[in-house]
Amino acid sequence: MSATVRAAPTGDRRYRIHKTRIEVPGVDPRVDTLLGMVMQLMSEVSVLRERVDAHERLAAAQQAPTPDAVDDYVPDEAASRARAAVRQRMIEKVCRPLLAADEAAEAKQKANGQDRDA
Amino acid sequence: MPAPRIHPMMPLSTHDETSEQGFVVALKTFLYTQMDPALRQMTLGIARELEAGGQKPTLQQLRKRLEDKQLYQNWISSTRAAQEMMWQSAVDCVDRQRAELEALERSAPPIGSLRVDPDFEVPRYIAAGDIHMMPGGYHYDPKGDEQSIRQGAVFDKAASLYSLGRQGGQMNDMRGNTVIAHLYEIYPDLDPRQILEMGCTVGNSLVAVKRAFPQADCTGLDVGASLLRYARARAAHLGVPLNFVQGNAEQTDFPDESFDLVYSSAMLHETSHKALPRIMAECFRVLKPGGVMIHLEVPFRADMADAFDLVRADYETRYNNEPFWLGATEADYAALAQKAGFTDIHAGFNDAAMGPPSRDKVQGMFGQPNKGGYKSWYIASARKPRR
Repeated sequence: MSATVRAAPTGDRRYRIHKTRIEVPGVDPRVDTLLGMVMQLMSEVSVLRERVDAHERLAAAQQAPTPDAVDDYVPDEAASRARAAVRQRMIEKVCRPLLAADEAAEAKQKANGQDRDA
Repeated sequence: MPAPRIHPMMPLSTHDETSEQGFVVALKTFLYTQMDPALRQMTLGIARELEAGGQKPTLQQLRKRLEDKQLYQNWISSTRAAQEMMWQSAVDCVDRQRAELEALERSAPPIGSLRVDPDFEVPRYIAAGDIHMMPGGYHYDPKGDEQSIRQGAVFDKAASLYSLGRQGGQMNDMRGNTVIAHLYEIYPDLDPRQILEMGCTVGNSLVAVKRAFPQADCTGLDVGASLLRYARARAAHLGVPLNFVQGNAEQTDFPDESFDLVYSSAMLHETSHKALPRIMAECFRVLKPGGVMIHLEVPFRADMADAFDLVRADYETRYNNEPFWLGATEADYAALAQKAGFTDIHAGFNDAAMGPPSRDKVQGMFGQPNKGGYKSWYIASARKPRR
């Protein structure tokens, strides 16, 4: 296990989160919560991918990918660019339905209208 | 000696934290560059339909038409989720190294000063909600944790992420430099010896101001004791002696005519309708005759906004816990300044200063059109009449 895997904050240092948070109109608050969780999970996958990336690059350089070596690994410019491209691709892939939502609804509405016309 | 790029108090990120922070920046960039334009297109389409009735649509009309659109709902949910993730990534990073940061605070050079008030009453507009979703807001400083620098560290770390590196990077000093550029251009005769920043947070702007006026005595005022403890240590580690005082900009305890320059940087929109004239009056009171007041604000004016700009401002106001965001962009700062007794009043957009400005290169920076995203700021400034 990595030396830097984070422990939860200890009891006396726990702070409450988000005082005042109004609901999104027309959205079940549980869906809003779920969307936040999906986003956070995507972040965790991204972190994991970059740990894997560090492993692979250390191995390619004939270095042992120990937890400390991974923690100390600093990507060079080319590796940073490659990581950014992976992040970008993942975000676009996961978030595409958010952008397509209304277009899909509109297309469905149109299709229903055409059915009725027929 | 060149200024260090990263100051010693800035919380350090591990490999994984760097990944997490890089992710949230990428997510925010995606939302800003992909989702905002999609919603802009939809909103402008709706606005055109409403305008066909003859009148410019109101925000209420736009909101009513947008509220059942999935794109609008998704946009609010995901934009706010990304904002919350940004803060949480900073909170986790700071909490992991709190002991080290507190030790750094204790070992900071003994320069500058700090005055906090355990009985300070936080203004309601600050205490009512976590401003811009920052857990605990500016002021949180629980009993039993009186030496905490946590809110300051969290703010500094997140601020360096929030602007996507476009507000002066990790020094976050672009707004301070823009205030200096405005002063150089509009009030070139002023040689301030006593300077006050209202709403100074972690002193990021004040460090830039002190470096521009090394002979001046610089004081930062804010509502958060934790912010100010961090700010004092941050500046001290940079070798910059600054004084920090906990207080309310509406009513400070500084004597009349204490300062040559009073300024704020993106503070007014985090106050309230009622507070605004009081802050102007307080600036007037604490300024010496001939002294100058400068308020830098977000580069947005409601009267110049298109339909989507209004919807975005509404998001900041309602969903990002900035209840006065829209109100501040509608305020008539020139009229407020005049009412407070000021003369030589200026209000308009100022080009952002991309680094420490020099006096011979500031001509024409003020009074320009709004260039958008961190390239311009709105500034209202005025002078207290000389005797």
